[in-house]
Amino acid sequence: MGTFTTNGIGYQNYATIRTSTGSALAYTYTGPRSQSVASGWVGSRGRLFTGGGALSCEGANSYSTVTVGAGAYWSGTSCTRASSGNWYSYGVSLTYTGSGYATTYTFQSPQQGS
Amino acid sequence: MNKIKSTLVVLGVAACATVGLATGAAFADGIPAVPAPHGLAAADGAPTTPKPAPKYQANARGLTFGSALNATSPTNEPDLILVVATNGAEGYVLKSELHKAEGTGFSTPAEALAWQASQRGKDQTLPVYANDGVTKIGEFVVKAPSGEAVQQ
Repeated sequence: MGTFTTNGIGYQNYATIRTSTGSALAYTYTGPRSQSVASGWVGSRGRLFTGGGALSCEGANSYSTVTVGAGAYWSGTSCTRASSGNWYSYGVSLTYTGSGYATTYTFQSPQQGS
Repeated sequence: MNKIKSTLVVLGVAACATVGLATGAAFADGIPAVPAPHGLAAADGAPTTPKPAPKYQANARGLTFGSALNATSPTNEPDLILVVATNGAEGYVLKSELHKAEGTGFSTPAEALAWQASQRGKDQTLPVYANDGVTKIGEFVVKAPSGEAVQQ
């Protein structure tokens, strides 16, 4: 779990991978820690990397379409990679600054096989 | 009982620290001076030092190329980002093209949400190049935005 502050609001984010035999999908979660934020204020982008460091699958930024409450998250996903291998999830969070968006990376997930 | 709980907490913190170090991350309370990526905070009050920016090779045109996995912000990603093309080949996409496809640079939530609505169901396809940034060897697909609120 990473924590950061944008425009005076504390956020947290993290990245995960869901795997099954022969496929992998990356998730990114971003949310405010102690207050609600309006729709469009947070975004998440899922990025799935191979064990060798190549970006294998990515989704475009997904911006929140509802109010996100304290302790809740807005998720974003990569595409699903139908392949066996070892993977990292390394996500991207976007948070509204008042005049644009700050970009904050998650921590890398542990490597996971599919 | 309290002693057992304390032992479990200590073991849990040690395990978190091990995972954090293995992935280049710092996130546990009370762990001193662990390198952390730029733009990220560890737990509140935990001292960290910035992780060094990655170094990349450059091609004949002066464009840097390599993996984005070690980049800690968009500004220290290489000009050409290593990807797996839809044909299975490894090559590079231009950072500028990738960021445009990702949907960045909006000034207001209304702009971001309008863009998102316009992208519903629309995957975007980018050219994948050799490390010269010119020779096309495949395509890379950025999936349409997909997300939802999650209560945990």
